Amino acid sequence: MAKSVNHHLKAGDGVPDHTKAAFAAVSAKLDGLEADGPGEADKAMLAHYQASAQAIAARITPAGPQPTYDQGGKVPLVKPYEAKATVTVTEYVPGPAPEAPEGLLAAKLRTATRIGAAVGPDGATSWDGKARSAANGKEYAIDLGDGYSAVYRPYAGADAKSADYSQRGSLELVAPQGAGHGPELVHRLGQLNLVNRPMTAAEGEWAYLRRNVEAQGLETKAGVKQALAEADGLEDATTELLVAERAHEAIGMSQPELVRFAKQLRLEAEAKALPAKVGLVRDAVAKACGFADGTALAASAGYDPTPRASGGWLVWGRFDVDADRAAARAPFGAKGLTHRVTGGNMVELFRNGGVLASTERRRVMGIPGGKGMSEAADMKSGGAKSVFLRVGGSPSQGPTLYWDDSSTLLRRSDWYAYGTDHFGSLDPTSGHSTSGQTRSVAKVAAFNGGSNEVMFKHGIDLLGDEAPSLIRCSSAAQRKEVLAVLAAKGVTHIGGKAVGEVVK
Amino acid sequence: MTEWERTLARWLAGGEELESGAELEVRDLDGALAFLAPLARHYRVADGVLWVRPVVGGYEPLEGGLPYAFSLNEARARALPLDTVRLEGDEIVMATGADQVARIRPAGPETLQELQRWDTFVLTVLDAEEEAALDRVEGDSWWGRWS
Repeated sequence: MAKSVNHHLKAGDGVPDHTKAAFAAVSAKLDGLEADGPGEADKAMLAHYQASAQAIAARITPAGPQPTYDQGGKVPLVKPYEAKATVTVTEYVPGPAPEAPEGLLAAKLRTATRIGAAVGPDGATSWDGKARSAANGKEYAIDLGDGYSAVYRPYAGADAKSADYSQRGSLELVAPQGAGHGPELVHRLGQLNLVNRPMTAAEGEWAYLRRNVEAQGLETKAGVKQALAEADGLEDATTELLVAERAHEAIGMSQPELVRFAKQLRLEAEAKALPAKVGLVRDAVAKACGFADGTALAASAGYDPTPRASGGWLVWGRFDVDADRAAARAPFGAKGLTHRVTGGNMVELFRNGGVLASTERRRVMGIPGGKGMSEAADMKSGGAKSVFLRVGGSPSQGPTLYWDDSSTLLRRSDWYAYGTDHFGSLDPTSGHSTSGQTRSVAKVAAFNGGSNEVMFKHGIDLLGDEAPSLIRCSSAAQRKEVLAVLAAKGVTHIGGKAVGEVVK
Repeated sequence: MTEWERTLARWLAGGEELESGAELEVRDLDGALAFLAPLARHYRVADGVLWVRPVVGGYEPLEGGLPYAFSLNEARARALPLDTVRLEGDEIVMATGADQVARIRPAGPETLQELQRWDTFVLTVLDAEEEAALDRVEGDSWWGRWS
């Protein structure tokens, strides 16, 4: 009823007779129920719906001038009547985990969840360690003992009931409440047969090289391809070497002890092989990029394997962009990167931490979305893991974020782009075509028109190293609000410039 | 207004009680279906680009008593280049720069059902300001309620 009335009020074509007749029938029914002399509880419910009916009636048969649709004339939401009562509810909960075989951890399979974090008044995210919201699919909850636990969402099962794409393969490790558990948390990874040391320089460089190979499209170069294949072989060879060296230690071990021992050897082999793997791939990458060897590449300007912390995650750089930021910037001319925020939402963006976060990240950060929100549409929407920017000129209208120096963001190794909007899954493992995708700075700089899109994984920290050069608000009032929110957070500068120079 | 745009406006308007609508189908060049969703009832043409809002991100909220809602951050405005736009029978067809072919046509039974849920959400749950913000068909992200 309200839908039809609002539709016609908006269209300005008059509420049709059939809607009026339907409303009259509902109204008569409500009146009839009232006349029946309901009990107190029903009376309250009737009063609730009568109030809504009166709001609709006021629009259908207006007495005097009515406000326009966008100035208070829209029939407001007819909320369902809610009352407190005691009822019996049967809830099915997962049974206790079956006894785990010796040497293994018990894993409880349950409906998937997300942590239920919340954003405080100061924009900081916190989580009490317990609150969780429902998600699609299943997850394994593993008790690691001493207040530590792990949650893993498997990849398996690609149907609609499987875990949300943006959660697939994610491992969550939870420490007891309080500070100072970081080192122990990392150590606990060992219980899951994962490498349980803080990231070493070699591991950081390995991640950096792999990301640069992908970002710069080097995987098609024969030398790099061969080096990556050989790197895999190095791990196997190191495992064999370790087995030969330490086989005597296995004498007298029980079956579970043997399994644990073998896994330990594999982890050790991974760690031992890493420096050699890095050297091998660095050399190949160097040659593919015109350097004499890996040493020359490592000493070159822009080569920096140390990841940067940004908005709650790590970002690795692209050495081809970092080597010469001016050269990366030049082809853009007067263009930059833009992101248009809808409606009056700019204030919300800064109130919630000042991170332009992807849908998935927002959930972890406690930025309110609808509870129960499904990602069944994830494949359709093009991925909840990224934020979307466009190449364009400096915006004259807001609310818009603008980076006049595109290299501020394109120096990241995790972006990819399309010349026009791309539809469908962006998951490269989905088997779906990603034809037309580019990671070339020159190609992105040549984008014209508003329909291109450049995707950045997780999001962008607007108050950190990747700050925009311009935050264009939609009105003076919005600017005032944004400035007030930033002042309350103690933010005086954005990207090295005074807040007032950036927020316009 | 060109013929294809008149056709699009007519499909999107959806009749007296929004009983019809339009859907967007996108296929890769090899013919594989990449995307199918109904289109919200607004569009914008600017600088050689058609802006539409595919209706995605629907879900059943766990609280608030609403039967169905949408993530407005997921249902963001999307762009289709108009360089090759043409009417082909009962379809508006255009090639995208991302090696895909987009077709807009009257909504089928499956997409129409989701579109009607969207209409209910927009017309009865959102306030007029939120609705107007959607109607402008711009914005790469949505913050605040229903994000």
